[in-house]
Amino acid sequence: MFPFPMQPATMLENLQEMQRNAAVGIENLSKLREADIHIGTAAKQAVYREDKLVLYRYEPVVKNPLPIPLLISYALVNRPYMVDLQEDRSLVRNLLKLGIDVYLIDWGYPGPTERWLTLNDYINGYIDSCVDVMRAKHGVDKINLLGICQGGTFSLCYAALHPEKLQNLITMVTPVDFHVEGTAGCGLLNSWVRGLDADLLVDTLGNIPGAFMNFGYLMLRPFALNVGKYTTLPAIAADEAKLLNFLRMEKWIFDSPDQAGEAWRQFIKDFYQGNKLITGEVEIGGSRVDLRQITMPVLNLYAEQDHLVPPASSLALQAYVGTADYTVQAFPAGHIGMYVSGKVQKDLPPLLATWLKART
Amino acid sequence: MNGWPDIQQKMFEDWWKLVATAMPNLQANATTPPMEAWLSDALDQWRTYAQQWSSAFPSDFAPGFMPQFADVTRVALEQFLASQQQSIQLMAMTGQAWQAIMRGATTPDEWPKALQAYVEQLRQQLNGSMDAFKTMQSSAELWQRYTDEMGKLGQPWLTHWLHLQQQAGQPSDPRQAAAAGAVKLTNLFWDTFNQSAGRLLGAPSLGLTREFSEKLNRSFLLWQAHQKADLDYQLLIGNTWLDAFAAFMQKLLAMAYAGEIITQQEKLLDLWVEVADKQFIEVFHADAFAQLQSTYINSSMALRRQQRELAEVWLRMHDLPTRSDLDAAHQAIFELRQEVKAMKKALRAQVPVVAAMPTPEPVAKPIKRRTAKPKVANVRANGAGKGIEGK
Repeated sequence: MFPFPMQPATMLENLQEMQRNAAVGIENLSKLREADIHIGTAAKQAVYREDKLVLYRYEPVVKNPLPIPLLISYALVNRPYMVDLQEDRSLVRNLLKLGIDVYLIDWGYPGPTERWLTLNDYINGYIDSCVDVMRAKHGVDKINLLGICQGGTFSLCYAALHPEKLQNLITMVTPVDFHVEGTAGCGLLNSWVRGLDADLLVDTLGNIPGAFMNFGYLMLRPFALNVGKYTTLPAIAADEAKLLNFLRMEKWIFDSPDQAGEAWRQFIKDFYQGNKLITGEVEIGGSRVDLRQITMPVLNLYAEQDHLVPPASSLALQAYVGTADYTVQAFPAGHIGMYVSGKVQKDLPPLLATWLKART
Repeated sequence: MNGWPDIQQKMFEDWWKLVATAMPNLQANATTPPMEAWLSDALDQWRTYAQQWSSAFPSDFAPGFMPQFADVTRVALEQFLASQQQSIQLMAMTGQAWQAIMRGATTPDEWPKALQAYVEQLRQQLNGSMDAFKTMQSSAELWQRYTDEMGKLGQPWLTHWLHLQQQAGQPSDPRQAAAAGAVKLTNLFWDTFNQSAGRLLGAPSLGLTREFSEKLNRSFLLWQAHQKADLDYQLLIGNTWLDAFAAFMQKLLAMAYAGEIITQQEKLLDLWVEVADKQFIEVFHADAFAQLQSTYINSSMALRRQQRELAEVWLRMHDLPTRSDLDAAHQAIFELRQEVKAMKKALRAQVPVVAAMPTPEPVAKPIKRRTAKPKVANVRANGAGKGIEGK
């Protein structure tokens, strides 16, 4: 019996193949420049600016788009171009093709002067300004709002505080119940954040560095995300198209803006630690966020293998909203797969567009 | 690129020779170097090659690793190189463990027991090294470590200080300076303390030194608390790593029993990633881990904030701006910006009312002229001065 479960000859052969791939891959890598990594390429125009926020309107690609436009509110923790990562993996492009008039909030990168921005500034300030701009531009009383991840939580707060301005609300991979227990790596953020001294962190650091946040995300799968993922790089790099796909995703993952200190403080204390969204105790700008005020139609989209936002956390929404028109839909993907998985992008945009058209 | 395959191949062949020495049917070669030597040699070769490779590219930008690459590409490549290093280390660890198991077992039935003994030995080493830190409770020792670590903060000023010393004809080499007693001045806190004490030597006690001492003592206590949190955290991570490694080796043993063969080097790493993640995630879910991690981060923040307070004392003493000053300035800018926004919004809301009102004539500052009587002139809204018509 040969006790060591490895075969040196075949391993060596495989190693040589990997090296051949790596040689081609390194050549490909060495030719690349930052400008070659195209992201967010769907045609768009800046229609409104406030501080560092920019509101973009994507150029419609159909003659008569839906009269009520859709505003996408993304999370603060990563850049919003994930919804238009590349031409063939783009939620935005798919929605445009289906006749949706799409707007997107780019929150920008908070600097030292944004450290004092509160959730009130984000929700009653920035989101409300964008909604008003769109209402005025389209001559409508109400618009459609799509909130993604943390942007979904913000959208829930906004919808509860300004229900008169929204026709429909869509939440995507949105945390609602922040105290659900996860297993097998799912929901770890909920338990990790509970013991953090948010006051101490903000008082010490001011804005919370994006790198600090990223470290937390990478630790959710420490070996797969920091080691395993890169072992395939030589094979990927040998194919320029695959390499660019890989690098676009890398760029997005590590393009993490710092978090405005005061907003982060409240988000951690009230949402993650206090779980106050579902108890109706969150206060934004002096008003309580009561999810029962969300009476417009709600479409709740979640990912079955989401390790950042456990499905149970998103699914909790149904029990708290006041709407009689509530739809929930699961997709067989992880948190990021919702935007880039070919299967999800085949099914999700048509579902969303059909749902909206039926309610316009 | 040509050298890389050769290095990898040689590395792999050497490793395999080492592993083979542990096989029951092969005699260990007395001249075969230990696995540690292989690892050290392999890593050295890998680093040398990576450096040569990077220097082969033109460096027409800022210094750094492969600077002409796109940032994202560079980071991805660095991560790849790091993963290759981990792969080498994993091979060494695996080979070493296998050697130990084979030495401790005469039949396959004894492999699990031998593995357990090997892991236990590693665990004792880990815990023992941590205990050595923990038993260092003497305040003198702790104070020495604290001042050594905190002294690093003083480095930016050391250069300047040495320059001044040189100008004054005193030794500029840090070692000479140290011999001359100057090393004390590399320590930010002692430096600050001495300077504050020196300045206040002839002055009545106004409590300034008391405040500083309080800050210093508090910093020391926070540092101690952070040291403990750091050790506890490292110990847990270290033990989890050992558990993961034991689980990984058990997988390999199970494969050996079943006659399964790993045919690719990356499959070995894949197996490690899968097993290690599973083990770590299990620990990550425990309340004890969340608590330890929070304590670690919180203690780190508390120490950092206290260090800043001390640094601010030093900065104020030298009439330099502090982080608190900057924060105050940024906050003022933020609040002013908010006020301007609110005023603009209010103004926009008034636009219909204002538009209905008659437009007042702009008033310009009277201009003195020698030959003509000053007149009030019309000023174009966009051109100060240009719009003044001296009629």
